[in-house]
Formats: sequence, C-alpha cells, structure tokens
Amino acid sequence: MSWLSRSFKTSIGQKLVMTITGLLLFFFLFVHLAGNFTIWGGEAFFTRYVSTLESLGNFTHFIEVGLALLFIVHIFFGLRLALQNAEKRPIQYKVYESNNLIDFSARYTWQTGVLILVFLVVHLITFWYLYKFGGEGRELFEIVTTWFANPLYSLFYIIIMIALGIHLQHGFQSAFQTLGWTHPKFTPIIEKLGTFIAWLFGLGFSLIPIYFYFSAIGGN
Amino acid sequence: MENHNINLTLNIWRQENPSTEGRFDEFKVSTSPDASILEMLDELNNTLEAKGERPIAFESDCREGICGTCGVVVNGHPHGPLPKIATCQLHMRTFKNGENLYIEPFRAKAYNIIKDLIVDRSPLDKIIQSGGFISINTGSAPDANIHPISKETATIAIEAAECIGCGACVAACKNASAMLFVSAKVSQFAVLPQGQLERYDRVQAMVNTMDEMGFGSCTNTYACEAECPKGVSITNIARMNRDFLNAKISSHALHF
Repeated sequence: MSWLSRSFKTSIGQKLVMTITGLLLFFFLFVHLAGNFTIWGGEAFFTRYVSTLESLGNFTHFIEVGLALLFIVHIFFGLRLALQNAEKRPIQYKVYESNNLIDFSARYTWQTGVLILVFLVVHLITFWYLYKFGGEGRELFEIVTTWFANPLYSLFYIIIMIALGIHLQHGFQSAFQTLGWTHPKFTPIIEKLGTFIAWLFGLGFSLIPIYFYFSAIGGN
Repeated sequence: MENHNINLTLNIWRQENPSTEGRFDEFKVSTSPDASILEMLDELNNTLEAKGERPIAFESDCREGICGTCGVVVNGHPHGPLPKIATCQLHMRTFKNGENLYIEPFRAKAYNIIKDLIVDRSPLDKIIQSGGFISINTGSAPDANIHPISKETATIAIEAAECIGCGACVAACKNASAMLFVSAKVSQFAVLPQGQLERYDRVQAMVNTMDEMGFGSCTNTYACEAECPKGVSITNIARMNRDFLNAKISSHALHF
C-alpha cells in the first residue's frame, strides 16, 4: 500500500478529503447561486446566460464531469465516515446528554447531507435531464417556472435549501478546523462568514421558488 | 446533629466481567449533600458489604481532580453535569432531593468494560507509547531558561499539558473519538523547541495508533471540549490536523 492510500485511510486523511471536496463544492454552489440570480433579469437575460454556458461546449462538459466526481467523492467519504463512526460505541448510553451541548448544525451533518443527496437526484432529473434530454426543445426558463408553480415541488425545494444552510453552517467552519487553519484572530471571522454563507445560500436559493410560486398563483 | 441528608435513586450499571451482559441495578440512598459522588458510592458499598452483597466496582485515586483515574457518566455527562470537574469533585448538593441518577461507565468500542463502572483505558496508553514523548537524554538538571520560550508559547504548552488523560472526551463524543486527548498530547510537545526533532513522526505515529485502537474520527462537534474536566481546547485538534498535513508534506520518514 502506498503512502498516499495509507494516508487517505487515516481518520484525519478521510476528513481532509471531505474538507477539500466540500470547499470546492462550496465554490460551485456560489457560482450556481450567481447563475440562478440571472433569473431576476427576466426570461431573456436568463436564457442568454443558459445559452452562454451551452456555447462553451466541451468546457461545460469537462466542468460537469469534475463536479460529478466531486459530489461522488464527498458523498462516498461522508457516508463511509458516518458508518465507521456509528459502530464506535456498540453499547449506547441509557442517558446521553453530551451531544445536546453542541451546536444544532453540528448534530445533523450527515443527515442534512443525505437530504441534499436525495435532492441532488431529483434536481438533476427534473431540471438538468429534462432540459438536456427532454427532447422537446423546451427552454430552461419554462421548465423552471413550471416546476415552481407546483406547491409541493417548491416546498420540497425550500426545505432542502434550509437543510443546505444547516449543512454549511457546520461544514464551512469545520473545513478550516480540519485543515488546521484556526487562530484566535481569524477563527471568529470564519465562523461569522460561515453563518452568513449559510443564510445567503439558504435564503438565496429559496427566493426563486418562492417568487415563481407566488407569481404563478397570482397570475403575474 | 440535624439531618440534612438528601434521598436519591441510583441506577448503576452492573457487569460481572468483560464477557457477560450488563444491567442497571437500582439503589435508594440517603446521603449528605457534602459527600462527593465517590464518597456516596463508598457509603453504599459499606452497606452492600455489610449485607454480604457484591460492592460496586469503580476506579479512583487522588480524589482531587488531577489524576484522571475516576470517571463515570452521570446523567448523560462524563464526570457529571457540572463543567470542568472530575467525577471525584462532583458533590451530591448538585442534585435535588428525590432525583434519579443514572451512573454508567465510559462507553466506547475502544474501552472494554472490566467490571461495573471500571473500563480498560489502556488504548490511551498505547497511543502515548507510540509517540507521546521526546527521545532525548535529559542528563542532569539543565540551567533554567536555557531555551528562551515566550509566555504565549509556554501557556499553550501548559494548557495542553493540563490534560489528565481521563478519557472523558472519548466518552462524550458521539463518534467515541480520542482526538482531544491525542491532540493535547501532540500539542504539548509540538509548540516547544524540545519537541521539534520528532514533531512530524510523533503526530503520524500517534494518529495511526489512535485509528488502530478503534477510536472514531472527529466530526468537529466539540462535545469533548464542553465535557473536558480541564477545559482542554479544540484548537489543539486544529494544531494536530495542521501538523498531520504538514507531516505528510515534509516529514523525512518514509514508512508513514
């Protein structure tokens, strides 16, 4: 076994994989949110953004493959760590209060992660697959507005975005802890930034279904 | 003398040996609020022995919160519900008259129960044996201040060295991770000049042993810091993570 695979099998090595993939996925979400916000510029503006991405051709495909790999590695290592850790206390406590002393977001990291995984599958099928392989030549704007007119779909979307916020509230500062980039000078800033990002992503992504659901029922 | 005793119902984990199944036994006691929990258990054991029953097995040594020998989980908290104390410093005035107490051993895959509340914490010793030391010939007592060390650095080292190795961090963690313990033992050397020679080998060897012993990984929930009787900081875990990563990049040892 090489030093590399040996290192990535250690507990800290596995956490480092989670950290690096997690931070890269965070950058993707940032770009994704910025892209989503072009929808506030109206249908024509949004469609122009979509066709710009399309016009990049193989570059977009390269990014898509990279993203898929990032997601797969992050999910695989996350689930494996959760399963490994679950068996580290074979006999549970009758009364266990220590976990109630910790931050709310830190308690449900893998659970919110699983919710996001379920969403990822639904999201890819209902938007990406339908747009690329739907075959009817539908514009993405129309697909988006049709889905968000459905209250159940919008509610599902919003609940997952709240879960994403909780996931990031823990995950963002946790990444810096795992890298060892902590200091009394800047750790408080990282923690506040993490909270800001959690709210920004949670609210930012939720605004779109909220807006389009209400404009659908308002007819305007 | 006026009797200020309080009445408590104790649910205590009883287990004959590592291979038998355990159970909770219930005891009703009347105890002085000034008794520590260990003194209360001593009294209970006297009563049990007088009746010819098997006393409750638990560990203790200094009984002043510095040796790290005692350690049980009381009502879901390692070392009881009060912050920054060891089990021996937990007094019965903490509890209300008539309260129910659950007293359990530290639970982790890496800790085998020897008997009742006594667990085998030797996996922590194995981690120390794999690198928690400096291999220099100390010789006779050196001159004081031969290595100039800043106040800030000395404070970090001493605060890390406050860890008494009781293993409560493992008991508190949902993953039964020993990262707070290991990181304190790594940090106390990592910040001092004497610890530099073996710095990168030490962190890798100790992390590898920690994994082999069956402790979980750190998911940065920080329950360990909240329950640590000495308030050892999770910044030590960050330092260990940093050193581990640096070791992978710059250590000269090829076998890690």
